[in-house]
Amino acid sequence: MQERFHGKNRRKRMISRLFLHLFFIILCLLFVYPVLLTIIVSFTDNTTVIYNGFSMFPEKWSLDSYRFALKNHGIFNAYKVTILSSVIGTVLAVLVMFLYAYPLSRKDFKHRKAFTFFAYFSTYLSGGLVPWYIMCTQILHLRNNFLALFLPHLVTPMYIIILRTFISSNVPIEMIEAAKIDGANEYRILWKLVLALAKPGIATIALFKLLGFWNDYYLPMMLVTDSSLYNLQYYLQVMFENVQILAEDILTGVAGISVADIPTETTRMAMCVLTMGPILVVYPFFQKYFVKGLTVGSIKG
Amino acid sequence: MTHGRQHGNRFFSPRKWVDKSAFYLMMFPGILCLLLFEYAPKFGLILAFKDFRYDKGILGSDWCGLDNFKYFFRTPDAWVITRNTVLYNTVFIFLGLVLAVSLAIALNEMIGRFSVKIYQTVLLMPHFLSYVVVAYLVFAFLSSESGILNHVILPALGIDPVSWYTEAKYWPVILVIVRMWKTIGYDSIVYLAAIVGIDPTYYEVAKIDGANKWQQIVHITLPGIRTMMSIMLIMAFGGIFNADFGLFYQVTKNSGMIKSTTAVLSTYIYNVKGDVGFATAAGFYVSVVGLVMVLVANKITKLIDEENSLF
Amino acid sequence: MKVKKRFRGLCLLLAMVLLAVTCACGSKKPDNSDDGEDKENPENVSTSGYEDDESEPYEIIWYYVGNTNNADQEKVEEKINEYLKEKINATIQMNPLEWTQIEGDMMDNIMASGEKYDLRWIRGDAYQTAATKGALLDVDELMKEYAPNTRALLGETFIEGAKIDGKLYGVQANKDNAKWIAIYYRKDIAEKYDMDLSNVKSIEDMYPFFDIILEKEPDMYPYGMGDGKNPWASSEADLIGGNGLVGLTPISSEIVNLYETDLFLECAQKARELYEKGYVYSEAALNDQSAVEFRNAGRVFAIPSTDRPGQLEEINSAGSWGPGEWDKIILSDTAIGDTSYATPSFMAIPVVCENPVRVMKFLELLNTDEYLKNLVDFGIEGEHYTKISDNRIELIPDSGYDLQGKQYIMGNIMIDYLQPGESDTKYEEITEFNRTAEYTESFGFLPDFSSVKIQYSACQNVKDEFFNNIVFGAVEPEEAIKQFNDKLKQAGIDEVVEEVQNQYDAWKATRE
Repeated sequence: MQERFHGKNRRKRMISRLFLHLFFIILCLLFVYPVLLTIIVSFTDNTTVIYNGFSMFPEKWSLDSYRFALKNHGIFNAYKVTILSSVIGTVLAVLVMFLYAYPLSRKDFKHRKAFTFFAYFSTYLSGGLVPWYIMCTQILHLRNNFLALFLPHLVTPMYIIILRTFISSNVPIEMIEAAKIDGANEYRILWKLVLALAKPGIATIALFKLLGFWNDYYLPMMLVTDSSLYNLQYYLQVMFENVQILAEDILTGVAGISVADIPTETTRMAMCVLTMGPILVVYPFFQKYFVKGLTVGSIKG
Repeated sequence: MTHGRQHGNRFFSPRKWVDKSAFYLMMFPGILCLLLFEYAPKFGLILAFKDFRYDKGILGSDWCGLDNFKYFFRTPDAWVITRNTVLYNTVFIFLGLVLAVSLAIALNEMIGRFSVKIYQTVLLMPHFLSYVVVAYLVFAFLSSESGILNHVILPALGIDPVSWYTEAKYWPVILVIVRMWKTIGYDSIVYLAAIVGIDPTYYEVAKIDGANKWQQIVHITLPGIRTMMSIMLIMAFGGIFNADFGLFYQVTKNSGMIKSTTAVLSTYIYNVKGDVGFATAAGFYVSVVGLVMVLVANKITKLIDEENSLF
Repeated sequence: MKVKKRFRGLCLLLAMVLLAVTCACGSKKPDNSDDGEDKENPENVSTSGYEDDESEPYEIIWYYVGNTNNADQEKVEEKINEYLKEKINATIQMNPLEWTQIEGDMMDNIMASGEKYDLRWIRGDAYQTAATKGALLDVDELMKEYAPNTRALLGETFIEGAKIDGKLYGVQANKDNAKWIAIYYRKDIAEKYDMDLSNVKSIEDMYPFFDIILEKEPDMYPYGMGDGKNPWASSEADLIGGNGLVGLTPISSEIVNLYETDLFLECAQKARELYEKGYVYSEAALNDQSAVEFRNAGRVFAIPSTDRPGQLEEINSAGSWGPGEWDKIILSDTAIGDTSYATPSFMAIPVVCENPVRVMKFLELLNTDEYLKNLVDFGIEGEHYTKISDNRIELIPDSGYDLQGKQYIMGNIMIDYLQPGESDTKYEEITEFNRTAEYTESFGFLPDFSSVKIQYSACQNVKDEFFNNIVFGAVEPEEAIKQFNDKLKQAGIDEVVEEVQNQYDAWKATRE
């Protein structure tokens, strides 16, 4: 009786697993198809694209778009800048936001609502670009400064609130009280208890920030004129835009510059592949934190 | 216990002060950042009410009352634009929530397996394609000269080709699909992390009580992420007037004939982007509506359950 | 206790790092502020008489669109400064920007934030906005006094064309400033099918040849439309204000809503005809790059284009229009110049400049001094280019300095060294071309839309909705034009027309 019941249950679970996998495989195929198309187009010969449109099975393959994107060695420097600024930016941002979010999650902190509002309200009624620009350039002198690539976007109020919610729902107040009674001070509670329990939340925010800094082209566009400080996204955009402008206009004195053989269609796709590649390699590192087993008990033990 | 109390006694008098100062110290870097990059520049808001001139500067320019706001109401399409913006965003908010949460629950069922890592990575991929590229992909799909849909799929089903970029009625569906495709992988991360954070002992107890998967989801998982869902919803309402520019401008190829279902506030504002006064006024308008929405949504949530409110 | 200390330390450290950044940055001398001690009273400098004491050095901060990847930028800058120091006791800080920066938010913010700089490059439409909003200095008098040779070079008619309310806000680039309307076509294809194009006078005359292409070259579009290339763009309408909502037609000297005119209807019908005959890419209205990309890939037979002396030869020698050899048919008898040609490209001095005189002296040199101009354009001889003859050079690839074809923005192109593919008489031809060009009736009239900017912007939105489909023939013109105009009326086109008419009358009165 017992045996049979167990076996039936197991089979049921197997079947539901199978369905779940099937569902995900179909979903993934739908999701990956356009991405795959992008990748394939980036390896297609440009003229073939213009004649035949996008195709999963192009007549003629080519590395021209990558050759063009990698032609100036600036891209390697851009990778370096992007990696440095997004890693440093992410670490700082998570630290600053976590430290801000934790007190907001504490129900015994009297002003938590006020400070939540203080953070959240800041995203509304923005004064526009000009005063922000004056702050960045004339007061903080961030122009052509490495810090310009992350400092102005260090704090995202929405993420603070997400973090706060994570902490308050994953760290029971009883545990904090118990720790207090055990004699732990606020810093110890933060370090030993909250940090450990909020790991999935922190990993989420860290990932969001990393993706944000990685994909950012706005800050360099506004604050950087020194091309050695261009990050990857901006570097690629600028390179591509220059080509398009050259291709559009018939300018006086452009003799000697041939834009016809620049693979515009495929380079656009290659740009996406070049930015997407490295970050997808990093992704599993964050996924590591999305596992079960961060029990309250394990912290206690 | 006794040990702890002794400890507590040692710090009895300065305890409260220590706690508070600790909190403020923790928040200090964040407050500084917010003050510098968010609050200080807010003085620029006055530009929304000024006729900005470069030689007179922000403070010196003349006041012009509400002139900068008139632009929004001048267009014969003001109603259509507002309707589109609000409807699209409402659909994005609710459908996005349902899909992202479902996806997170489904992923959670198999978490820890290698295959899940692959699924999750694949689902995140669209996030990296810029809307410009997405626009080209959509065009490759829908184009009437070379589109896959008109030349391969529809003929195979025996349906006549459709001129997608001139038929307004299809676009609400197309845009919702594109938007969901691009964002749910990313959006589900938050919910997955929230689900993962639920204390596993609840599930263990439920299993012993004989609860099936569905009951576990309804009685443990959903309540466990209820606060997160409610907070995300409230914040999303704050962006009700912020239409995703790339989606509505690039993906539609800014095609004129489908404007009745694709014109939104952000594409409408785009035409005056060079004007400092207009731009600030536009931001002001969008912001005030968003703020009101957030406050109302927050109030309603508060009446239902204080726990789930934003502030 | 340990953790507490560590944590308090961390918080403090973080805060201090942030503060330090703030303070360090704050106390750091802004790289572009000058000493302040011997700064002259700005009142003196910018208004009365334009004094300049050349014994005091001055650094000119210059923003222009250039190549930001030049490894030898500093080297060339040093060389330029050596020369400038000796000539006018000035140095220059060159700040090349990207297109997105100089035409976008960044340069707008530099202007709006009151940051000090001395010289900027600016394109026509932005020139007008910046000037009417008070960002630029009136350089009329300044130019007369300190850049007389440049002024003579440009000619008074041309200069008049760039004036707004009688004030001149920048120094124009001396280059080709008119256009021929032409059809470019693939000579090699025409020869392949024995086409005789010598009698072609209009686009309709091309139809028989287009039919041949349709039949024999299935992969090719007979006529390349898209990306601003359409019958309306090559019509005789005299657009006002660059964007062409309002303007004049050959048969009326009153300002009208151009989209109500017969001229627009004719162009739309022509576009529709081309579309229905299958001569053009049917989705040109959606795909803004299509014409150029098809052309570059050898997928079009003919393409409408503006033209100037030497253009064809340069295209063929560089192969910049893709495979095959090109030839042209010029449709207009004379070259035409409209206001957009008077205001294509400027060097403008901002109101925040502290020594406009020295900047103007620099501009005079840049426009007349062959050595300086070519140094700015091509870098150092032997390092960045090799001289072939007296005025002909060849660029050294990847040399570390290169303007990537942006020489024209720097000013007078007529003193630039010639490059391979350019004819020996290029500059004579262009000068003659400019001299014989006819200017449109409204040449030099720049309207100020600020008093009707709400209506103007609303009309722009309506234009976005209809314009492309009509001029690329994607819709039945009559019906669409009617809807278009109905909506324009609601958006306030009549108020725009009226305002521009008033300004136009006033402008005309001052000209007589």
